[in-house]
Amino acid sequence: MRYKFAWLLLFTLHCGIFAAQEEPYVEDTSERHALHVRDPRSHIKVFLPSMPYNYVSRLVNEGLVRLAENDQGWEYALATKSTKLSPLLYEFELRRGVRFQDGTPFNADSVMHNFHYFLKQPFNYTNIHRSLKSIEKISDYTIRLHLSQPYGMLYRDLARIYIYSEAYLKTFGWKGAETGANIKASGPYGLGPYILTEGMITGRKQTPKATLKANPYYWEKQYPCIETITFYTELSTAEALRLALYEDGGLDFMQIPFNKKIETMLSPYAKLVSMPSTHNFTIYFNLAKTASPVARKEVRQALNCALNQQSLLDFTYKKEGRLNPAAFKDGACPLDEAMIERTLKGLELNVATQDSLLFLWKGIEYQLSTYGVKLRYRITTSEKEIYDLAQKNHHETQEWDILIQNTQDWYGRYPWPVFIRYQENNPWSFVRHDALMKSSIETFFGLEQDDALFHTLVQKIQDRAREEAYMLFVPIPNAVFAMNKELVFEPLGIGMQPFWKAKITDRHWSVRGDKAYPEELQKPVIPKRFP
Amino acid sequence: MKKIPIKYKLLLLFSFSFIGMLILAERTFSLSKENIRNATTIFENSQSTLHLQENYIEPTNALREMSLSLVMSPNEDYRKNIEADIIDRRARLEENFAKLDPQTYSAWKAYSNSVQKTCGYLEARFEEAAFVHVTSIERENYTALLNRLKSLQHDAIMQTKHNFSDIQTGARALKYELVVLVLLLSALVFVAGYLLSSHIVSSILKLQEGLKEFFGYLQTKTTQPKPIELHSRDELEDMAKLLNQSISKASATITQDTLFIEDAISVVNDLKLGKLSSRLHSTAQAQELRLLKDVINAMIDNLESKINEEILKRTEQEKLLIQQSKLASMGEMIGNIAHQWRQPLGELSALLINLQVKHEFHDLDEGYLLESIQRCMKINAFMSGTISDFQNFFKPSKEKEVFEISEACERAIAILQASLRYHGIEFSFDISEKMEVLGYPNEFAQALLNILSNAKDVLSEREISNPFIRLYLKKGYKYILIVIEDNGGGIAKEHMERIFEPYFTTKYAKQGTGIGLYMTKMIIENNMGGIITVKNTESGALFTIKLPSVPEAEVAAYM
Repeated sequence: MRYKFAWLLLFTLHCGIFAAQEEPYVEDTSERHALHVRDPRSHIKVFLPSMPYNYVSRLVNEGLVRLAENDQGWEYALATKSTKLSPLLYEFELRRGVRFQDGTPFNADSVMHNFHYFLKQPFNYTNIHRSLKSIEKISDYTIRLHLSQPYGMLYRDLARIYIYSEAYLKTFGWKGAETGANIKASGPYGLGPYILTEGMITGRKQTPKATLKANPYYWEKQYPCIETITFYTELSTAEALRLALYEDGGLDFMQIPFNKKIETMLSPYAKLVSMPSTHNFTIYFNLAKTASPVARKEVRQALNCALNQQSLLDFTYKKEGRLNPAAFKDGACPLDEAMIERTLKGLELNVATQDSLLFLWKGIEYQLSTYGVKLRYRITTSEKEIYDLAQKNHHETQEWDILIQNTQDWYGRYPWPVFIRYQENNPWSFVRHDALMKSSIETFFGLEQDDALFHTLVQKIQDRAREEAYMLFVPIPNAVFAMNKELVFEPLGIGMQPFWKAKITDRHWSVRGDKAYPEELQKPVIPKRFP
Repeated sequence: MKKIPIKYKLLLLFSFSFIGMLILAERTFSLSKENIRNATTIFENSQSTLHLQENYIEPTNALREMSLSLVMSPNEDYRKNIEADIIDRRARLEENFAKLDPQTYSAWKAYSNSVQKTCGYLEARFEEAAFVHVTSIERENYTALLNRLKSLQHDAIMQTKHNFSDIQTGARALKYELVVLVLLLSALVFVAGYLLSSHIVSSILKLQEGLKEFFGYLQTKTTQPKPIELHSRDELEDMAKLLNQSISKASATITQDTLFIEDAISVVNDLKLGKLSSRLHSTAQAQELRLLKDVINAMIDNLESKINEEILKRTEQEKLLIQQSKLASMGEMIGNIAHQWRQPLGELSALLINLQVKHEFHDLDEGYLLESIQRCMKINAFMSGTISDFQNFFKPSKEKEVFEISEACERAIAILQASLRYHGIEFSFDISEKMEVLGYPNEFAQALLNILSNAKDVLSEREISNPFIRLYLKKGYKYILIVIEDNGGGIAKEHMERIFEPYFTTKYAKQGTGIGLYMTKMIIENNMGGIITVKNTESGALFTIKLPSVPEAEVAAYM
């Protein structure tokens, strides 16, 4: 009896201690409260400062296939099946019962019509424009693609060749651009889960805000689950953070700087979600500017050697990323330390950057400053300006020596978004007169991803780029998001976010009405890390 | 108290003081002992503070630093080492804190658990939570623990302060105690000292007063001091008795010596008055005075004989002087007779020549002869009269008599007149009224002649143009002034003081004896009670003879 009493006392004490030390973090229970039926009031606000056109176009438009977070990197969309009849002939079965956003039916003619436009004016940032020869209608729901040469990137490129309605093509025609998508105006012109109802968005031109509404004709009938998505394109990072973290209904989804993880986690309205990504910080050297110090290979190599990748990862990325295989490994620098110091001493470089990437520059600058390198910044909040500075450099050499671009993986876990920077005559590359690289890239186009030579060639291209130091290589970042606690969504670490699959809970600001967000829900949610 | 000798009184006083000092010393020693005891307590408190600092606060800070470092660590490798350190540190601190009170131990447990929690977050790769935890709950617990430790330190310091305050209070109380004690003892010693000293001092003052009186008596010798009345029955009373004996003895001696001195003064006064026969007959007590008496008497004897000798010598000198003066006067007189006789002798010669011529030309008749004889007789009588005048002039007056001063002047002038005329010296004699003096008329006339004769000599020697000598008399209420003035250029400044000295002359050796003016001064001042002075005027010398005039009643008595 005496022991029983002692145990009881111990148990009570134990419970008391646990009660006193209440866990400050709560599990994310939003999925349990998710609304599975689309509420017409449902609305989320999204801010994706890098390549927003890419994300929007993948919501508004659809191609035969679409990017996917799977081994092959894509999945069927408007096509349901494909057969490689020969290295130069592919046959696609089209999805039946699909309607354009304006209600008009989709069939082989729609594909034919769009591909004809495309063949006349293809985008030129892959090799599709040289590889795709013709298209053939086999039946109302079967087409065949004829290639002029084997082309390993066909499916990913098909994910970028969107099918537009007759109305759009009649009105706007086909206007390929360096930044891809044709979203010249808002309207029910595509086949994607959302209709762009307000604003317009391309890589070079965009409105600060674009509104997307659920496509009632979308072929996946259970989607989209949210009625309205507002895309912001030009918020400052500070403002976007304020909206996302401290204002109920301010922003539901945004990619955050790494040093804002804690605030995000502690936010009353947002939760922290992170995952490995295939995005990258593309840091160009201005190879076209012959007067620039970076025109010299040794300077580029020295700059790459001077960076301690692990330190950048630990302190600048806050461990949110992984080492870049393209960067020099420890002890692999072709220059000795004295040479690096000699080369970099007193170097002054002009850097063009978006303000959201300044955190990275501070880390880089800190390391380079030990060698006496001084950086002068041209800072902008607009990604368009960065694109302009890059593109204008082809016609007229710009002042910048280094330009950074936050590249979202618009190609789906595939090396091309990186290799595009090494392809001669590509609008996104300044590499010239590198026969080895040119030949390698041409070979790369012809190889399938599952080809045994594919990985060897990828390695070769990476080695060449590293050797020539065409880029200033930095670690590959994770995708880190601030997401509304009542948004049920599994974001991707590639250049596409399938918001049509996103759901909200009944506690979400858009459906809650005038009720305040419950205090108990304002507790920090344990961050979610994928995978 | 009066029966106690001074040394015992002083011994009593010193005993009071000594006992007071002993009491003070005892209190001071006890204060010192208490201070040491309190200082030891303070030291122990400080040790306690230091112990808390070294064994709790600093290791806790180190643990906190480790925890923060853990959160900041960039990778697992860093974390491993720090985690190991944290485990070790926590174990040691756990051991330390278990020794402290339950409240502090509870604060430690809270902090220790929060550190563990931070480690747990990191182990679960929940770095954000680790950061938040380390900067929030862990920090709060750390602050609470630190505050608790500070509070313990504060308690220790407060204890120190309290002890210090106790020391201060004790010291203050002891200070007052010492002050009171010192005041009491001082008062006691003071009163005893005052009574004792006032008694001694009053005796001393009486002694002092008696001595002062005695010394005053020694100085003034007027009032004989009274005996010192002191009945203190101590050493001072003995001293007073001795002093009284001494005073009475000294008074007797002084009285005798005073009489002796008075006698001596009287003798000296006699000496002043020329009574050289006076001698010191009193007897003094002091040996020195007795010796002085012998010396004074011997000295007076000696002086008397010396004075007699000197008088004799001076008498001889004066005789010689008078002789010289007579000789000089003789010479002067012969000169003056020669001047007086020059004209009658000429007339005699002319008469004789006329007689001779008349005789040769046989023109001499009896009448003429008788007339001429008559005239010669007249001239002869004149010349004879001149001789008489001179004889009378130099004949010394036998007694003092009242004489008409103008007559004496005229007699002197008469002797010198021929000589003055001869030298062409203008002479004026101005007399307004009758003036009579008491004295020796011949000596006075001689004195005047000396002055006039000197003036004449100077005027003729220096060949002064328009030489003159003026003599005039003035009568005052008590005195008669006889003024002789010339224009002979005056007396040289360096000679002015000496002209009345004997044997002083400015004339050539053969011409002057240096006696004249000396004799003049003797006659005027010693014989006639007058005063003779001389000064220079613009053109010459001016002699003034001041003689006391004789009242008419006195003149009548002499008649």
